[in-house]
Amino acid sequence: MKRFIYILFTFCTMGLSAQNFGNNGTLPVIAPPQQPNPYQPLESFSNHYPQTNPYNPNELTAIQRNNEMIIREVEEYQRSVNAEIQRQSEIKMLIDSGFPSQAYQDPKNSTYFYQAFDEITSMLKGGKPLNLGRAVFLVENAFYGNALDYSEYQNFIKRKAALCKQKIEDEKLDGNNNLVKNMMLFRLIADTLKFKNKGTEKTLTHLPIKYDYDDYRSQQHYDSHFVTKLMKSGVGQCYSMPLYYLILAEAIGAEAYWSFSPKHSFVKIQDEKGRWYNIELTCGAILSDAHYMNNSYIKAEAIRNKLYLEPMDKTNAVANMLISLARCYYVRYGWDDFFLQCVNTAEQYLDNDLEALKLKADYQTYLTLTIANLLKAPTPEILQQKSPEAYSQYEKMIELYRKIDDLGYEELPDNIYAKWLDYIAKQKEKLERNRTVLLNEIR
Amino acid sequence: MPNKIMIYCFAFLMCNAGSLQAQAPESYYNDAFERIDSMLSGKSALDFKKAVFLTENAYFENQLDPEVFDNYIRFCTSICRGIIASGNILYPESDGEKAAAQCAVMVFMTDTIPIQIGKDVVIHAPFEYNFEDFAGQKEWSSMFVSTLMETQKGNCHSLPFLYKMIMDELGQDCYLSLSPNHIYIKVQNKRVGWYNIELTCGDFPTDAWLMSSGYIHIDALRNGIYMDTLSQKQSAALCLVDLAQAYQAKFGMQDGRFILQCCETALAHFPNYINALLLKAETETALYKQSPPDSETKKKLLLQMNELYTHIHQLGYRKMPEKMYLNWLNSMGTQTTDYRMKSLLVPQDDL
Repeated sequence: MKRFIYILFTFCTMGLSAQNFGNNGTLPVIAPPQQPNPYQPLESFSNHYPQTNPYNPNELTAIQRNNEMIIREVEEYQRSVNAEIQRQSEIKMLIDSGFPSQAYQDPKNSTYFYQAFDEITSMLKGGKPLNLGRAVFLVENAFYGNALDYSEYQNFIKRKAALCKQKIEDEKLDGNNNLVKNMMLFRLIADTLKFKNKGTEKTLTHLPIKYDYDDYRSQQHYDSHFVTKLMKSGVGQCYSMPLYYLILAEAIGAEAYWSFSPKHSFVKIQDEKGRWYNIELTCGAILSDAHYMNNSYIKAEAIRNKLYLEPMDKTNAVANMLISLARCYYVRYGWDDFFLQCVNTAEQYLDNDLEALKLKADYQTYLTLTIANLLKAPTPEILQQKSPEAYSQYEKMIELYRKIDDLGYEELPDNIYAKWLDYIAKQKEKLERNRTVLLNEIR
Repeated sequence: MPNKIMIYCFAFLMCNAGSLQAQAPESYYNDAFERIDSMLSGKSALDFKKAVFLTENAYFENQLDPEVFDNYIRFCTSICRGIIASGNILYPESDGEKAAAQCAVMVFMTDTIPIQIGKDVVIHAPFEYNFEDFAGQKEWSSMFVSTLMETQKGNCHSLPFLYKMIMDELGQDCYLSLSPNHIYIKVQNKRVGWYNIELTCGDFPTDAWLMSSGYIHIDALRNGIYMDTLSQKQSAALCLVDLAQAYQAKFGMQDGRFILQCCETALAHFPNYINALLLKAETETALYKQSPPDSETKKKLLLQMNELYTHIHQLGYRKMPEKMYLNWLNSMGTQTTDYRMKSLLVPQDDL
């Protein structure tokens, strides 16, 4: 390429000097030599040289055009060199430190994520008391860019807790009994309760939380599984309903546990004799372990490795909010170091790594594919040839999937999940057909 | 009309009679114990087939011919190889060899297999379930693989044992798994993941079904006392408790020493082996009842018993009433189970 630049340079000077000569026209005219010039190139050779008659204006633009073309080529080359340098440095950066921070996209609102992370982490470390209600609020508030009002949120919870206590008193039940508190909470969320207003003696009706048939998978709106959304709308799904229950349980001092099954979560409680019960809020029922195993196709390995049907204590529930925070952050800004920080911190406190591992595997897969794409390596073997460092990222990804497999995790068979979705669709249809009847009943 | 193949060599299975000098019957059990113990402690190689043979041979007072026993397993294996090679097993994933073996042994044991020998087609009939004596109550040897070889009738002990021996011979992974009063097979392939094989009725029960119908508490699952895969070592440890039970069937408990020795050795290598814990607890209970009132031994035994039963309960064991067990056995095979696995089997007409 240097050769090109050199040639270009000489052409430019030649052009300029020729013009000067032409314009002045005052120089003495020298007769051309008559005898053959021994240095004159042969006819056949001269054809290869550019015809550089400085007095021909057409000739000149041809040169300029030619020059411009070469300049463009050089610039293009320069651009491609720059792009190559950038690509290389990008690959190096991705390999060394993963995806860079995405907070620049929205410096103001991303700070709410950091604040939520700090506060939840300090709960987990013991610097602050564990408070699930607060942790849930922090996550959802970060997602909304600090648009939620904490005192309003707290008042809502306090009102519901007071209703529970009032009903326990009205029915003359033992307000210190854990099972009584849990059962009342279950009724408050899953049943229609009537209260006598003490001052006016008017009867108030409290309606149950209904299942959100429209967006139970949070596909239309990401916040469809938020507890604050449930509080606002009175509809929830299998994530927000158990969490809502647990927040209220925390407020009335009832002992309850969160538990997972494939693509689902519910509440576990224990009676005085230590027997466990599963509270299924989406349909307002108490279900057996075998029911979950059968319906969600849970295998013995998954139970033994504590993936499913395991009662999770408050530490686990709060640590899970970091997982939720990571997801919200991803939805807002994408993958970066903060996302990983949330997941890694959560993993330290979770008895069951599955969710953390799955998120890490997602991140690592995207990272590996991005690097492989930049390196133009369509297969792992080519990736290994092109860059052993990049290949180690691929190995890291495989290792994560191996860990997930070792936990006994198997994807729910498609047909089983489809069957369940079909069931939900039918339920929804039924509900829509009977909508007017339901409304009349409530009035 | 195809001939029904009769397994030719079982007349010879017990052919060692008279060739050995008389020995005290108990000594056969001690020999078997020593040899299985040396497998477990790593002094000799772990060999499930051998451990089973040793257990059964002790009961028959050294009358079983190891050669015949081995030949039979090899004979079964060769038929299974033939089924694999027949190309009748369609399986789309990359671990086809493994899945084909799982399927072939299952088909061999539960289905009628036509075999071409020269110009003749002979039929190997499926093994049958021994309904008359499925728990070895009339004759303990009903539990044995050698009995299954001889009579073609087995139960939830001998049938999965034979399946495992054939799979071991084929060099494929295969695991015994426990549920209350029951043993079944667990295997894994890419398409289905882990799944269960129930040979007594040729079915693929799901874990959820085994759990809900088989009287299994979720804690028993969490602690792995049921429905977990047994390692080679755990499978050999299982044989020690079988040996103790065979001893008990023949001589009664005696002073309990041999039975407890078997249980404790099994537990040293398989600490949560529920059947060893149960047999130990039962033996201690019987000893407690025998011991003189207000004696030191009685007090000590009571303490041990309570500790053991508490431990057993905490592990998640709940005793299943016998009637319930029979109903359960009966219901198996009538339930619809894992269609995905069933879909791998080629319909009988195509074989």
